[in-house]
Amino acid sequence: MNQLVAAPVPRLPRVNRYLEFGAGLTVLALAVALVGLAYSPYAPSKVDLLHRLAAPSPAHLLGTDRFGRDVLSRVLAGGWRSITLGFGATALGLAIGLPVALATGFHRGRLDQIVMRFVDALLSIPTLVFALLVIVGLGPGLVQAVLALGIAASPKFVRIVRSAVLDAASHDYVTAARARGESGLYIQYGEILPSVWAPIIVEGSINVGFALVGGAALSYLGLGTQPPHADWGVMINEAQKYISVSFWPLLGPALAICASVIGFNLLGEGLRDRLHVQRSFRDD
Amino acid sequence: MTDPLIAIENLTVSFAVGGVLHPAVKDLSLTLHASEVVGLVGESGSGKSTALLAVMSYLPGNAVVEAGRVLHGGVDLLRASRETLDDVRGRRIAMIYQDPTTALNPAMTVGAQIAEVLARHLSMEGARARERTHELLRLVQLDDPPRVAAAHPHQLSGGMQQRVMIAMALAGEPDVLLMDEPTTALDVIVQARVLDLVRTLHRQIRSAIVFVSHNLAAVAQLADRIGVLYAGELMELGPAAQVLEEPSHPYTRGLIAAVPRIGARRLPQGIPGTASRDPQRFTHCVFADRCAFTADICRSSRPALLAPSSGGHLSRCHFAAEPSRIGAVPGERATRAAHDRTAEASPLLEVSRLSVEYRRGAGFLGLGRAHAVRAVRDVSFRLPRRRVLAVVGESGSGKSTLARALLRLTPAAQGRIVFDGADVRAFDAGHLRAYRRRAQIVFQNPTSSLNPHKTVADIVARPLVLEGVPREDRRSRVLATLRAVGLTEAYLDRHPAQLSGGEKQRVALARAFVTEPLLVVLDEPTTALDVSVQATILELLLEQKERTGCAYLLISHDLAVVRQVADEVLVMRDGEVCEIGPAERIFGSPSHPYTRELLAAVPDLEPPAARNSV
Amino acid sequence: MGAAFLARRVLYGLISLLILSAIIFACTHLLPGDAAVTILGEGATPDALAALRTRLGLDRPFALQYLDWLAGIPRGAFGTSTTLNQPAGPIIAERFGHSLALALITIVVAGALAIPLGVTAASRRGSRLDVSILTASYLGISIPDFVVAPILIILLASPPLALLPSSGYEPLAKSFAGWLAHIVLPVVVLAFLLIAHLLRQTRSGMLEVLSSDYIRTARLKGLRERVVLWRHGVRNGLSTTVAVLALDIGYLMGSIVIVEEIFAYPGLGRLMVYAVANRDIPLVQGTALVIGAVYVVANLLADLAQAALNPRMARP
Repeated sequence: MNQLVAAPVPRLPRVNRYLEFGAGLTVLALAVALVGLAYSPYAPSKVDLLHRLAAPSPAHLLGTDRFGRDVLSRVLAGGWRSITLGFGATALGLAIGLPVALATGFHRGRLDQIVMRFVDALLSIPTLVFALLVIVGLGPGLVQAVLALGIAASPKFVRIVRSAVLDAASHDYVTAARARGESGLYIQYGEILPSVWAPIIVEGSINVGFALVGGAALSYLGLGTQPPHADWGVMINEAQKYISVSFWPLLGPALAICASVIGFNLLGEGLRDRLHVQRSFRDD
Repeated sequence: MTDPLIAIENLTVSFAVGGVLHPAVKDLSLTLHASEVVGLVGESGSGKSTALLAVMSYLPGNAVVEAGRVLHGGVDLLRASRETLDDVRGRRIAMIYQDPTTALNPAMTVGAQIAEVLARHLSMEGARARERTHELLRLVQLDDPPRVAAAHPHQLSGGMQQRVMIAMALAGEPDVLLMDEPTTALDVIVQARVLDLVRTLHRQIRSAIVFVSHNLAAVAQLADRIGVLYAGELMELGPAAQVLEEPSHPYTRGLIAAVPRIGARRLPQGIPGTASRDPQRFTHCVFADRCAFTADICRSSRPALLAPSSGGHLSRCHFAAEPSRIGAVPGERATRAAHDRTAEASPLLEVSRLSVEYRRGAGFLGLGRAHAVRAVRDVSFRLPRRRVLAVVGESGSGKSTLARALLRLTPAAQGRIVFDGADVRAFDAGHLRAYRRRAQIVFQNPTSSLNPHKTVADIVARPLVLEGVPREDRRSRVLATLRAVGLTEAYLDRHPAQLSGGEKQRVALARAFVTEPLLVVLDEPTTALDVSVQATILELLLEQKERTGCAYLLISHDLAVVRQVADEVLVMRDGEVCEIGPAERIFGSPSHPYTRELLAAVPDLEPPAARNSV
Repeated sequence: MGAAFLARRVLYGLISLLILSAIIFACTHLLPGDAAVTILGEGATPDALAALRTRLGLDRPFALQYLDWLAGIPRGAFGTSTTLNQPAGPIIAERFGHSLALALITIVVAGALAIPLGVTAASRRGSRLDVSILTASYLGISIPDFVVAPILIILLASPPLALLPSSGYEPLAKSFAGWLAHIVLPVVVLAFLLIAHLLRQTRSGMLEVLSSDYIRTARLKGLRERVVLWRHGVRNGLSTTVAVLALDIGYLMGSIVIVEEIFAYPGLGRLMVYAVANRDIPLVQGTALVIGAVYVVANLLADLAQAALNPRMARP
């Protein structure tokens, strides 16, 4: 009830377009990663000093970098690392955050207060900085980066999931469950969790994108994927040094990262609208 | 007859949801003349709120006006420009609606919000505006206007906020006041006072009023003419006394029969079924599938609004001209059998001196001072089997807290609860589990009490799973219980979102009954339901009680409902018991002044002119 | 809003900082990896390692090490940088100043652009303008700063259009123009992301406000839309905007790390990257704590501002 004189029917397809577009880009990103695991036009580390920093051509669709290596091949080959960073960090963050959020949101009380104070303090450290803290201890590397980003993402998930848990727990069906003597674990996982999936899926999708960027940032800083391996973040770092000479080596990984992030964001937002639409049709 | 102030002509408004148009109001025609009060009555889905908002031309973005006009001063408001509307709203037509706590801007003082209207429409500013604001606040019976004007909304009670809304509506000196359920969100006694205020103001100011409500009794207190809406269509329209005493439409008749009366012990009669929301329902009479008097013509063609006799009484029924066919308002239904005293020998539930406290302000990390608020103080009562004990009170009386404490959902601070001879507060985990199978609770809001992700079968079977009933037996018991609450096997695989409010509450009841409990706590079980559905639920509850011999603790603020089903009544205020005793005595000759106040506040169905003192 | 409320919020803030310091300390000390080995290398002799450990205080109980570190903080002593062999405090302080300048300018620029745009988009929901603003903000949050920065560098800091330096820093004292020139690009990159976040949050906050009942009341009183929007809408939306700004400080601090590194801007972020790469524990701890503290203080200020703006709290 927030608008004025009757307007023509709004175009609902706008929402689905987000979802479709996002899903499409996401699938593309995943395809690139999967394909790259097995195949690339050239070996990613194949050096060709005669064709360095070349512009795109039929032979090299995305050009070559400063060592004459085919950019497309490197994008394909390094893709799985960047995608793994995104998914791995998100999965880990959820694996830690979800049980904590369910337990504290359901039980409330003193423990909840202490944990949330803790979480609030953690949230005051930006994700990247937190990841850096963890890397200091673990050292650089792909696996370490996944761990670091995963742990860094968990407080945010605790916050988000907990507010969904609190919302679900305020419904009478949770009180009804307590009234018939259900165990705490059943209520958390059997009654509350189904209501909480929606925000998890939405925030999870969006987070994959951001974790991917975070991972690329770590790699850019030299703290993620280590040489001689490469992922999109490393490629950007390498490309930056020669940017005044040629920006083509930058384009490939930049496009890959942007497309993936936009894809996951749109997917998440599209899902958010979709999942809500299905929920609130019948309100007596 | 003078020209009408507002003329709604053949209004049809629909809402676009997911690409489909759902009609909310169909072919509504209504006129409003100076100084008259028109009451519009309808249940959920009747379209009454949409109709009112259409008059203000304030419809949401997905609303489509398929046909019709709203004429005011020669202008069709539905097609007027925003500038024109800005001059009409607040100045010629003003609106008051349901929840005053959210309707006022929390960041502005109440006085400033009223003064805005004065500045905008009457060019009143400064000292003159301040004076007038105070006058208006006095007019709505608020003491100490300067203090109220300087307050922010959250510093005022609900009743005071609603009076402010009324003052704000009157500030522009409109000819027409639109009221959408203005008292529904308020406590019973406050409701009565606000209704009184509206009546007084109408006598003084003589503006025309359209009063919309689901509460027929409240409308009966004020209206000169009454219109009855159902599923988007106007079913009946006529002078208030005629519509209430000699309704010509079966739905109106059914509605009147469904309203619980506080004056007499007469079990209300529900209307079976639920209102159709099918967008194609207007090819025939929309009420046909629930009407007790349908004929073939009702299912094949849509009736027009006919006048059975002169006097401006219209009815949308193929048989409007034959009132005798439909019969008189149902007479007294058999009242319930007198008490069987022998059942009182050993009460099922005995509560002595129960107190429940809340801690407010837990401090930081659980430290820091918290002060205890006594939500329930020193409550004692006994509940024998097959009896209904009603706990009545307004919000904040502690009745819900009491209910939860009995089931140990909230810890009690002091007192004893004895169930079937055992001390409930001393139960260990095992005994507590067993207790929870024999004592169940049903909540007010059926949408909130059913998990939207589970099917009806899951929901109703779950208590049996907890009890350890084997799978083969579960299904038959679930089916039997569903049948007992009037639902068929077809409902097993449905999700709550696919059910109506009444159906959801039946599922909640089935869930409570499936373990054959001895005690069922009912926390406002019918409050969230339409009145035509309420009665069927009440019938169901009584049947179940007779069959299984369980006892009910009924929590309610609705005294009329309590009158129909309670054996004993406990009146609570601020956590304490004001009065307790057999229902006849409490309703017939209440001794506590608060009880008397509560009873006097309940609006009854007779229009004020015909009303005897209760 | 009483002194009690103020005191309680400050106390909460201090406790958060305390917890923060413990977490930071734990991260850097409990995770596997021996600082001594990292500094001296794998081939160092056991004696040299032991000596270094004693010098760094690594052989003492964990709790004591923590308390030692904590005790020094109020005096600004963050220990000694193991790689630079100087007290960490002054280094951190100087770099903090540079980062603060960057952050404040970014916030002002971003706020001035994002908030009005967000309010406008919300007031015209669904319109072409709204959709284009939304789309632009989507791109803003999706394109990482280490992609935006090189693009800007190509455009503005490389031949043929070398308008601005692509890296480095010049103290304000030396030359205003120089200082400004070095700060422009980092601010633009940071603002890019911040505007996108702030805009979306302002928009959704305003949308929520605009769908409240009191907005309906205001319109039904016949007030002009402009009045409804600003006097009733924005006034209430303001407190959410304030809360959101504090949150965005967090985003900002994270971005600052990357942006300073790209532009070789001598701030806290760049210092942290250096410290992490070289396992300079005292520097890592110090910078992380200061970064976290900025967020805690920003939140505290936001809470106080919200309380002042919210009549429910100001006048119970």
